[in-house]
Amino acid sequence: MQPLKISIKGDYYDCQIYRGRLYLWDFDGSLKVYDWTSIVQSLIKKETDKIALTFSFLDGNYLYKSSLIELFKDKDFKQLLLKKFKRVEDKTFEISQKKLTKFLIGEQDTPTGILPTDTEIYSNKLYFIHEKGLFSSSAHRGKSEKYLVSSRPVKLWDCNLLSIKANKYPQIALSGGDEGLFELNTSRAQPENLKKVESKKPIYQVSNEHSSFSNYSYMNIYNSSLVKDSFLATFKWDAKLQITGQMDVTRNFESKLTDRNLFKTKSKQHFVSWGIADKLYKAKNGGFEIIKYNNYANEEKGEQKFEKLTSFNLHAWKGKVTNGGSAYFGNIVECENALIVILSDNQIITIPGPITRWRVYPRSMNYENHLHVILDDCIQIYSFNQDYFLSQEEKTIGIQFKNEKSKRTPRGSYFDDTNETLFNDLDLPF
Amino acid sequence: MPYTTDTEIEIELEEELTTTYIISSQHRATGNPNKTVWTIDFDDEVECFTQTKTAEWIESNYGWGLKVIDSVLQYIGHNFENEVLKIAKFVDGSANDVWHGYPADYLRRSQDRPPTFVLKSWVDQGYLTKAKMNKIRRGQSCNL
Repeated sequence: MQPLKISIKGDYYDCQIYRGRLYLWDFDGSLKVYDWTSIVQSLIKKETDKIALTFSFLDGNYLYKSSLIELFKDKDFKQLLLKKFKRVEDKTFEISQKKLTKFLIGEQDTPTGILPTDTEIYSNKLYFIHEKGLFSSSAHRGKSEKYLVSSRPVKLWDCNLLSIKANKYPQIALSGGDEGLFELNTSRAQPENLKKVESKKPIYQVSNEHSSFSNYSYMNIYNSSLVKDSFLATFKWDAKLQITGQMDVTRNFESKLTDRNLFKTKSKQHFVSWGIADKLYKAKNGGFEIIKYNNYANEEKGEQKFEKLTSFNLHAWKGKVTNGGSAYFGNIVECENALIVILSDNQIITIPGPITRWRVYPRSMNYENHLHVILDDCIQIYSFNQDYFLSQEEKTIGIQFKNEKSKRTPRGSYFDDTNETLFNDLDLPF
Repeated sequence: MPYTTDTEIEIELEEELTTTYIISSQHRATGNPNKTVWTIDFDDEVECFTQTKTAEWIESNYGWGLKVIDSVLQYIGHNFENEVLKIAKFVDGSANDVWHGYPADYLRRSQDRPPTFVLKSWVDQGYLTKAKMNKIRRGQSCNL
């Protein structure tokens, strides 16, 4: 099964997608916001393509529903849907800048005037970093506002960070290179055993060891370093009974587990490792190793927290591995000269560079099947759809999708992800 | 007259505009893990600095420079791990227009990453690609 792809011409530097809006930072410093739903709808030329395009680009979560997974066990249903994807996967959906302008809903200078080094949109706020520090601006503002992203950002910290990554809870991991690993923790459960680096802001130093990029694995942070050993910083819940009789729960730092120990590496050669959710990966010569991480393992029952799954062999990396990430649909490995996507069905796709930026959105509600790749003259928006038809427990590549998650945190589809009138007139495929 | 280390060199940038540069011996000797080392000769180091001043690749008391031949960035030094370095950093430590410089190790040291406006200027002039600019800003290795 091949990915679907939309290519949008332009000189871009960064991108985000959030609640029906596509955010594109032009290299000249402007930030433009587009109506993503309308862009996708404009590509649907035949009624019979509506289901495939809607699920591919607007509602990536829908097909993970447990009721549908049961349906896909029926070969006929599965084949019918696969046929619909097949019909559109050979097409190239190209959007010129002229056509894109029709969907423009907001245009402004990027807040602070400096192109961001990294961005996250979380809980209707844009977080961004550059050499002047960490900032936040309200985002996803009403269309009646002059700017859809506030032009007056709040400076949260003046550290020159390398990357930021939000989890589903109000925490953002902050990678500060040789300054170390930090966390902006806006939850009520503030840590008691980490040093606060800003007196008025809940920013804590997790480690003073080198941090190139980081990501959340359950409530822990996997810290990846391109020059030193990477490690998993684990956290634990500590509860204290208050005088009022209420339990006060805090998320405290627990330990640091180096990738050398986790992967039992003996080689002196440095290879980057990364982790997100239930999988940890470490690059090696000609491939990478995989560990399945079960934070809730009952070790008394013989369950393992860290279970080495397998090694994945590749002919060769395209230059040195510089970054890695994972989504439900697979792993993304950034090399110096190309981006390699290893899909959850073990298929490999190479996207030749130079790659300015790539993003996946595994924590989004509707775009978890997207991969956005910014090249010199365009942004390519890929949609990967093979993962819906795989056994989530058995796959080794990509994050395991767990439907039970929805009991605690209802996962919305794009049909209920917004209170805007944006989708009011939408003719739903079902 | 040939340049010598740790001596003030007066450089004429344009008519009636001069600046002072010192070739630091600390960045010419190997063995110190905290100091990167130039591999280009004294003349090239001074020329690299002069270009930085002329092109105004400077923010506050820090400047960044390159050595470019036929649009190709040249190797200017190395770090303690013997990794090749291609970006120069210049410092006016006392804010009195007396500068010294060293090869910047942007991968290992946050303060060695050039600011965005300098990198953007290098992209606009064809010395870097947009992709490499982004990798430098994110502290990632790239074939400069």
